[in-house]
Amino acid sequence: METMTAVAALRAIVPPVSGERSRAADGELMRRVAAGDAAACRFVADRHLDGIVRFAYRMLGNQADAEDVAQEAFMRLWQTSKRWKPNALIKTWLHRVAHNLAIDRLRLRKPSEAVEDAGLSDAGPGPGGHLQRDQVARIVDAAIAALPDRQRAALALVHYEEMSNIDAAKIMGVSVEAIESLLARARRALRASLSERRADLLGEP
Amino acid sequence: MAERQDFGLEQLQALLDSYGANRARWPTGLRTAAEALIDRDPEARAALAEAQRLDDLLSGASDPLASPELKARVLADASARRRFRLPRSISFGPFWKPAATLAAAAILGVALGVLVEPPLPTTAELSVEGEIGELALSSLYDAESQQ
Repeated sequence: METMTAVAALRAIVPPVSGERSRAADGELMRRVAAGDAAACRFVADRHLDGIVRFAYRMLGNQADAEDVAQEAFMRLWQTSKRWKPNALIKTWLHRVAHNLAIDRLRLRKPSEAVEDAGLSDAGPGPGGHLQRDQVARIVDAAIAALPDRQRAALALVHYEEMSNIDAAKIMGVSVEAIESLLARARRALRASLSERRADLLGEP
Repeated sequence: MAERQDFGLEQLQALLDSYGANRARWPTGLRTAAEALIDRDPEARAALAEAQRLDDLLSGASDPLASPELKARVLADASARRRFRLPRSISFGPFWKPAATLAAAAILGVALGVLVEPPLPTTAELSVEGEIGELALSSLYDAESQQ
């Protein structure tokens, strides 16, 4: 209970991720993490764990691998806390580590390993004429999973995690122009692969 | 801000191809010119609408969340400051497990340690430029109150 009250107190002083205040607040959070403050650790996990799982899921295609990557990324964050750079952002740092871990996993993956929910040829609409939410998700997830790794990473970072093009470029170790090119190719590929089922997916008549 | 004379449909399409229809995501240097074009050109508005349809499709993707078990493992890792990740088969509930289970987990963790890559990343962001300075809580409150 004390931890939950402390977490609520932290939420009041740490702003949403943006700008210099966020860097300073993240620095203070990591100082507390380094000091073994359980409330600070819980606050960081509450704030960032879902986003890292979501990003890793887009990269790897299944919940189990995504959670492994997320756990590894956070473990490294805890270990790095005593050496935290004051001007770093936790969100960017975690995504960079998760990106590298995911890429390593993808390189080790055999071509025959399919993603969990390959559903581009999924069943059609139900009796009401509309696809259910989970059917839509399976189809869209499969289309994203079919993208080349770097295009998928750029899309996941910028479109889904709402990273700036600059931060995404830092995370992937490429130029901003390269990010824009990857995004454009990804979106064009998705437009093509989803176009046939667009009406079903959007619930249009 | 003066309107860019070199921003036409081709540039707008390139912008939409990369960033989609959400104007908040457009690079700030291009936003004004793009919006001006959209305001005056029906073809530009059609391109924006097409980009919005793709955004709507993409919003149908899964939105996975961390499982409670994962969160418990992450927080347990924080407490233990482990140097290697315990596998998913070792589960932690909201409270510490009995000592025997913890002991078994520790033994398994040591055995796994030789199989797991060194946990410390070596990216440039992790270079230490000096001691992390103290940041008084009061300064965080002051910054908040100035909003």
